[in-house]
Amino acid sequence: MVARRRRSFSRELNPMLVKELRGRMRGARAFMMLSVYLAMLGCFTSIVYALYFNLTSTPGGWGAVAYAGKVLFSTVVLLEIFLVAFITPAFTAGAISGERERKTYEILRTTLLPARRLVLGKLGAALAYVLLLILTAVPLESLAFMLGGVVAKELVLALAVLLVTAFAVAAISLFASALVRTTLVATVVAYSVVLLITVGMPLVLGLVAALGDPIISGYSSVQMSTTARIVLMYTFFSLLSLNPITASILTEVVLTEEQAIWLFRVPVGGRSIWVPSGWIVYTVVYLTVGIVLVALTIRRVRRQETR
Amino acid sequence: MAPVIETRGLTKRYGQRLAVADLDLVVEEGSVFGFVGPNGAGKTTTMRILATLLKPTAGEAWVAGHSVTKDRRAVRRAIGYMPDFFGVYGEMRVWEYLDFFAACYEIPSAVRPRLVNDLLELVDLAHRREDYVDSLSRGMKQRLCLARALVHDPQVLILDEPASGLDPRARVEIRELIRELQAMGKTVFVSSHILSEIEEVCTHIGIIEAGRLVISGPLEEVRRRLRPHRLVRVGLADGRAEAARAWLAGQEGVAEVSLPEGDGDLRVAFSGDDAALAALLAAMTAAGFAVIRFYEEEEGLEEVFLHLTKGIVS
Repeated sequence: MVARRRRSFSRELNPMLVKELRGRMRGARAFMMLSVYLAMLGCFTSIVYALYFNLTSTPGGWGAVAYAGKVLFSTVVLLEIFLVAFITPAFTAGAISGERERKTYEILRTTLLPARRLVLGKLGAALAYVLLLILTAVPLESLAFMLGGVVAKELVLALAVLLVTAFAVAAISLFASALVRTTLVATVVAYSVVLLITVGMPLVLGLVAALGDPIISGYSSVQMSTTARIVLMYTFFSLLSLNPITASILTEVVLTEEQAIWLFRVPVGGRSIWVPSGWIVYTVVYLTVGIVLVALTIRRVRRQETR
Repeated sequence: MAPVIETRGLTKRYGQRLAVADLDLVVEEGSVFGFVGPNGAGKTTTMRILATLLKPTAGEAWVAGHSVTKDRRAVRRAIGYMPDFFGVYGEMRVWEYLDFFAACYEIPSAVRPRLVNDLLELVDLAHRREDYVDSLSRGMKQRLCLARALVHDPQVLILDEPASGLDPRARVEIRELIRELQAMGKTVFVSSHILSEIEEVCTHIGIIEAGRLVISGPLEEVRRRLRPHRLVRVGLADGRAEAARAWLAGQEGVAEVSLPEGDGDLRVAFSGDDAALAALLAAMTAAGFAVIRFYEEEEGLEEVFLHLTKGIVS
């Protein structure tokens, strides 16, 4: 009977989701933020557009215009990934710690609202707003369609990477918020992780690639078995796919050069191996990380009820 | 009557510090139980344990028959808890605030609007329905929080210092609300560090000091136990105070007679019921004393409280 009761109630909206959305969308703040975000993105797009057409004023026919379309699209998407990665913690890093700081957490914990609904409501509300940011920028990305060179597939893949990024970053921040006592510390932790993933990793990867490339391609004097080379190759592509920027670029390159969305061939020491496209690895890894962190957050919120 | 709140050997230890020590408490159904003690006596800790927010180090507590450690969900359903310090969601409208908590208590959305209006009516905030919570005064926020504690129609209300930091009018309003809650059949467990603040609404009193329950029971009984003698003031028209003092000292039921400096009136500590007191007055006039004042002095519980807790604090 209890189970049936619970099921009948879950048809009702998550109260935390409703509350958070009301708070978030109310007043000028949400609107201002959206405007600033779109203005930034718009400015940047215009600059890229202008720069590119100034630099390539030499007539290159349709090919050059199509290439311009690709550059424009890629720039907007990459910038968007950055913006989403850095805006999302602002919505989620205070989710739990903020309730603690505002002294509203205790009252909330004495209600019947389960930890699961509390956390999912917070997550849902934050993601809903980020989704709004992502969707409102679609017209900007679509500018590229006027120039050509970009296909709908690319737009869908870009959206997938963006959504996964938003989810993973939200989950990381939410977990930080449940883990530490103050929003300040939670924010610092969340941004550190985001910075590590978006900026730190490409730096390390670039270094590794520069050092490792001759070895893998067999130009180096270091002797390596084919198996070792294959392992190294997979490691390299996996690392490449763990960063949203490099994963997107890899996906784009594979799509353009190999006309492949899912898998592509890489020659290694006379043989060739199948490697999954960047977005697949990225999506699978970060969805998993996100789900695990959300589960841990729920567990943590539940456990604190009997501190 | 059945106990709605019961604790047995309830103990809470924070490291070396003992916040609640072996507390045995019984709150009967339908009563307004005043939980009184100085700041830091363990009132809030006890209430937080009852509200399922803290785990006791030892001992057990039951609310409405449910164990606060084993059946937290049932306890939460049975209680409305108002902490001593709490925040509100300032960016919400008053009705949204109540609607949110009603939803948290799994009240279907179809009945919520009506419920919210009824509660706002109860705490006299119906006219502020559409205002933001932040715009309310402190007393209003306190009342809103009380309404919030009532959304799921709980059997017991646990109110931690509901009147602290309020102006006199707001205090009176909270007192009136507590009376109303009792009339609605709810059990109210209310704490205060100022006894006189809640004395007049309570049916029962428990005094806690340094984590231990000093005394507890019905208000009158507590009064009687704390003050076994009635204090009678006797004024004479002819100034024969010394003679009266000697005479009174020999009467039955008189424990002590004193003659404080100043007003010249006698203070008689008397143990006995009203009839015995009336007989004493009759005997006194019959003995030829010109009695012009003969009345019982009401000693507030405040003095009793100070008298009681003084020794333990120092």
